[in-house]
Amino acid sequence: MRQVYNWENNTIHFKDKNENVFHMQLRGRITIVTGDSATGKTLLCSRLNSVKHDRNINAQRYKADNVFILNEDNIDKLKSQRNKLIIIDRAEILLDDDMVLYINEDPGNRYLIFARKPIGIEATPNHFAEMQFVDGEIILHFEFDVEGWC
Amino acid sequence: MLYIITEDSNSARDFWSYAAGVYRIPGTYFMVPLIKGRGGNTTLKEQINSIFSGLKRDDELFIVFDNIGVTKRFNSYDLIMKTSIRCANIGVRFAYTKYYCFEELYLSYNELLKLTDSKYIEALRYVNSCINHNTEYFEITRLDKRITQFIIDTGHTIRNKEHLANELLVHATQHIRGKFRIHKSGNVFDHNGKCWIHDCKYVRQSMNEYEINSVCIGHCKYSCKNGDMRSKIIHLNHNSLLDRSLADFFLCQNPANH
Repeated sequence: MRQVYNWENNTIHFKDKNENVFHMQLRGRITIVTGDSATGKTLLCSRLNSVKHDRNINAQRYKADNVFILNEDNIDKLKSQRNKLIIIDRAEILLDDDMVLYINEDPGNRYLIFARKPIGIEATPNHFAEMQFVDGEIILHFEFDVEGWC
Repeated sequence: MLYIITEDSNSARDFWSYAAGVYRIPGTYFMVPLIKGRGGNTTLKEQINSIFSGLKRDDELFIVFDNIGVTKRFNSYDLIMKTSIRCANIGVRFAYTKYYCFEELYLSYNELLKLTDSKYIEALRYVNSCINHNTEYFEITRLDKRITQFIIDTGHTIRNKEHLANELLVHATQHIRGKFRIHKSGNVFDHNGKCWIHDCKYVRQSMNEYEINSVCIGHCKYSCKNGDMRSKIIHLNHNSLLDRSLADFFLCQNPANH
């Protein structure tokens, strides 16, 4: 079984039960995904949840034990995570100021954050992406890659 | 016409005004007035709106950010994206500064390392190298020990990357003989920091003979010693991260200046 998230390459790569291929290159410690509804953000979280909880056929091919999907039910476990990719959907609703501060200073995890508006996560425009469907794959498109904005 | 928009009235605005004066012909650039009584990045959109209806095809718009980071109150990503689209729709060229914060401009300038007598030269060298090699120097929980030592010794409260850059630059320039001091507030390039920008002849007009002999003639190690504004800004452009912004914008308008 293969991890859907490759820590070395900072990449999410897997195919779900409907043959949707997710191939997403993340950037640095924090990647923030903006964009309209129905671009695949919630779908990604749903599919990763399925992999984590063995709820689809592809669970036999993949594992996601280095991924933690934050939601209202497990929000108290955020600060106990180590060496995980933490995925947060609708962060503007889920996160309070204390959690934003924690994420800004957390050295042990990486974050993929879906947010419709700025919530105080410290990042330059280089770390903002949109999900796109390109050549049969769902990818992340970064608009900026400016030297000096690391 | 080149329209230059800055966040506030401090050193970054002065610097870019001087740089435009060096690289552009008078009458081909315009410093967009600040929104009266208000500064900060949240006024950038208002400044853009104040001139946008007057922009014509082939005009240029240049935004000078003090700090490019997205915050809870200011979304630089959104501002750049929307302004890019608006400019493209009417044929206006759009550019913006390519540094994280203004302080990095001088922290990346190799002359700073050569001139300062700071005992934190290793911290400065580390930050200079990071900026010039496009690597991160500020991860608050994993700071390099040279940076940590600087923070502990100086007792500064560092809340973010811009604070660190500012404290390092203030410290480094305090340890240079001459008028090289840069700090965040005020018109530093016309006062304590004028040696970085102004013609040495002009700087010496405000110094007595003893100062000129002991500081300028006796001790100045600046590569642009006895230089004028043009030579100083061009030297900075070639020896710092500035070439990312200047080459991008000013130089291509007037290649003879390169």
